[in-house]
Amino acid sequence: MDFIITALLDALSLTTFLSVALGVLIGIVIGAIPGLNAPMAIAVAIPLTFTMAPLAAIGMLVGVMKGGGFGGAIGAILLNTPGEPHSAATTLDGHPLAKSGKPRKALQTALYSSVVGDSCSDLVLILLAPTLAIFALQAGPVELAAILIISLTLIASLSGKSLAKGIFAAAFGALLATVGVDPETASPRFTFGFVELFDGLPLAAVAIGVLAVPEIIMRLQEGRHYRRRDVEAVATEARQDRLTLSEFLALKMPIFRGAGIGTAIGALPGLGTTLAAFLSYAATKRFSKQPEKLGTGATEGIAATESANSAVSGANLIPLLTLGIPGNLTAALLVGAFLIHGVTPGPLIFQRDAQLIYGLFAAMIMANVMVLVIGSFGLRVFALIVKVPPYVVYPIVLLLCVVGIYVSQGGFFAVWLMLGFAVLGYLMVRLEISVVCFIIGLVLGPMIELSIRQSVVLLSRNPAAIFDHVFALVLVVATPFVAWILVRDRARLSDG
Amino acid sequence: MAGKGGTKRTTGPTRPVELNQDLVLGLVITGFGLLLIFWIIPAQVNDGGSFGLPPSLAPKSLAWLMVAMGAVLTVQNLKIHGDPGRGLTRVDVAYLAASVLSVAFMLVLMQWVGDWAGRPYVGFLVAAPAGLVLFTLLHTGAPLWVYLFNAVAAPLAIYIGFWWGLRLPLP
Repeated sequence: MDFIITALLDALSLTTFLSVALGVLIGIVIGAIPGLNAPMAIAVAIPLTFTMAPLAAIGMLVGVMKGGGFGGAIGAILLNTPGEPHSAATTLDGHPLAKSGKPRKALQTALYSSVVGDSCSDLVLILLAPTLAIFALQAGPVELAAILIISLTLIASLSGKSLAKGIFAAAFGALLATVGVDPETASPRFTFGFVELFDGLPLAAVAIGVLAVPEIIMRLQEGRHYRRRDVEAVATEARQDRLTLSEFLALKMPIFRGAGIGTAIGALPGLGTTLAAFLSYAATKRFSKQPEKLGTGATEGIAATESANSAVSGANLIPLLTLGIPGNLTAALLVGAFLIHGVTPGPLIFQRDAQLIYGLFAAMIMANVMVLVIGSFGLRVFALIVKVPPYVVYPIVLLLCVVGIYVSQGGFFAVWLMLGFAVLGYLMVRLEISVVCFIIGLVLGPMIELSIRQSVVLLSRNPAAIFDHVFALVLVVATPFVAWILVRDRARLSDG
Repeated sequence: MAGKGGTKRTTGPTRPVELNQDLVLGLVITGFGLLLIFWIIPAQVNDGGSFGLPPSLAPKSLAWLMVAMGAVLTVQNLKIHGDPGRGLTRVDVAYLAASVLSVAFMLVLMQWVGDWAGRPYVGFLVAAPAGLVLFTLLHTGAPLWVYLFNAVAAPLAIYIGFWWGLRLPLP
């Protein structure tokens, strides 16, 4: 109990408070810029956290994640330009409502629903994660290896159009995770004589290289062909362009339904925010008294999608903190941030770094409050961000990527690496190879290798001992079947 | 992304038979996997002196997995002509090359001027405006004031933020 109180005090310190506030601000601003999104914002912000204390650093990145979630809705509503696929669901009602002269009402609905959805999933995380971690601690390396393999297969099956490309991306990411000194023999692998590679590839350089830089290059490539789709709003009285308390309370069902769907989906690796947003939208349409209004600017539609996709972010930390498995790209980048600050995600985190984790829980709640406060007061300013011309934004963001990596890694080597990975990322996007699978493979690679090595050592003396690990055996046998079922169902859906 | 331009699925006799990019990709992945197994891994991973599992086990297993996935992709696309998706066009490749060269030029200039001057921020203050002008040129269609703004105001703001705000040195 003492460490919980100490953790709360840590979270309430001025440093953590300011870091979380800065993170939320960065997240909303970057998320609001068309083409940029929350994972990119985290990738760009990671280098800024190198000199910070672990709680302040991770709190800031959580702030970026939560702020970025709401920031994406700003571009989706005002410009009909979703920064992430899940924001496409928000455009269905958000943009028509903004066009009808109520952009503020649309943004307020998105903000409040997002904060409620996020808070609900954070509460589930706080209540469930410590208990689940106790169960996870019972798992040995054999079970962990089986869980990691099925999780990675699930993610590969659900990301992108082709399973073969998804598995290739994950395998390639895991292969690059072997760069550096081998943990058992201390002999270098794939270092090509560069001492800088002995500690492995710097995650920040790889993440910014494959995520942010290719997107910037593609946006620059759109060039003069880019046409801004500003809201040509119908003139409306100011008091009509506001979400009243009674209107907000009337949205409780879509919001809580969305929060439930988002939390359930977020807790399972690989399913992602897009599925949550569209499922919640479909469920709201199914149960709505006026389903014909959805798609024409109904606040119900915005509330359903925003609460669901925000709820995914908190729930995604359940597999991350209890098993060390990142369920999506944002969580994978957070794993990188945890490792940079000397914290290894997994069930032992509740024993080894309990104070930090409870501090993080407090920082998550604090971040939700800040999204609400900063979002409410800065709504007009953030609405202006989407109007900054792309030829101003993207060249500067590209320079910031270079500067951020130079500062965080202390030299040009990582910047050149970032540039190389930018080429790889661009080709992957154009050839429809999942960057998500690649990054998750890169993050999970060392864990999978270690647990498989430990399993082989454990079982090598007595291979029949595999039958003592029934849970792991079931998972390993089920993995190809689960992948086959998922791929088959997706093929049917796309044919339909 | 599908259907936005670039190569399209060949459906009629008037359209020339186009190369299926996924087929080529499958072959490239297979070739890369084999290159890893037979050349790069033996050259870069030393198994001598290992007492447990050899350090090359994970890289080799992953490379074989890549070979298998490349083969699957190749077989899946053997009978499909053309590319059903947007794919990679020559314009994309040219644009990517121009972007990478712009960043590389800025980095080389920054490194060279920084080493020559031997003082923090000299390389940055010389190379960043040049880089930003190039990046803005890549966008095409930007008005003149944007070049001025990007070349002067943006590097100054970054310089103030990183040096005066965070006390972090740049080249």
